[in-house]
Amino acid sequence: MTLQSDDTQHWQQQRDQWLGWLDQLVSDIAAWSEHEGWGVNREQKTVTEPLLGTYSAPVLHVQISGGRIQVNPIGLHMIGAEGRVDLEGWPTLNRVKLVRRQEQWQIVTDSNVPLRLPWCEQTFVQLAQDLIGMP
Amino acid sequence: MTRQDAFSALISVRDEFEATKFAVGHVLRLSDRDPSLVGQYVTGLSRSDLQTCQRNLEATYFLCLFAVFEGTLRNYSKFGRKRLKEPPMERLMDSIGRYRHISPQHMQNAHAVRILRNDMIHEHQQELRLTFHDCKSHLATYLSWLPPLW
Repeated sequence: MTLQSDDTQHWQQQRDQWLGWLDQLVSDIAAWSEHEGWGVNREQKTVTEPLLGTYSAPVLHVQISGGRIQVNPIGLHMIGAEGRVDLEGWPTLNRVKLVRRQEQWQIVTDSNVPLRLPWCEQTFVQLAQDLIGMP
Repeated sequence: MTRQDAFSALISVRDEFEATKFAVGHVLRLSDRDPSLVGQYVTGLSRSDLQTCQRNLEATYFLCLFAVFEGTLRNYSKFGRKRLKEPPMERLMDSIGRYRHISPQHMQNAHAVRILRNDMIHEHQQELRLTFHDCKSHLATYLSWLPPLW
């Protein structure tokens, strides 16, 4: 086997693992949202990364009274993290980043301050409402 | 123009601000370790120039943000409402606010951002009373009252 095909296999495995994390994340958020009675709409987007190539990744739109949340995967290879997904509120454009570090999702604000809260249903529900500026 | 175009432009300013903030901070941290670093790459540029840049970054990008907002409203006025005149921003925001039935709270928030921008431009105020992200949210929320397409 050539070095090049070893590399290809390695990056393909990384991409599959990343897509597995994304599928799990999007499924969790969809279930938590439905539990709150919020509508969800899932679609695919195309992502291109230098090492992983071009691939299709899931995007989730969550409809909340007074706004919506977009769960938007950015990519696996990020500075200081193994994967980043943005949670963005509309119309406020408030955003937090979910970054994968030490095999779990951590929440980082736009000011680059980590929110040291566990990533779970309760955190997501509160965060979603805060992102769209619900009182 | 679409409302989404306006949101995309605000998002670009936000992301550029974050990237620049990171880059300037990173170079400053590196130059702490090697004070000659900056001079090696750009003749005449000092570490204090970078510190000034970092200090003013939020205000600089705030002005970019407001320029996007103003450009959007003027485009909507001209092409969406077929208005030929270019009134001052306060009148333009009020006129669009009445026409689109924008909520009083959202109007008030957007005007607070406009007043801050005026103070910075005309009164040379350096301190942001609202954060960049607060301003972005207030302006985006005002824009959410515009039609999806004009």
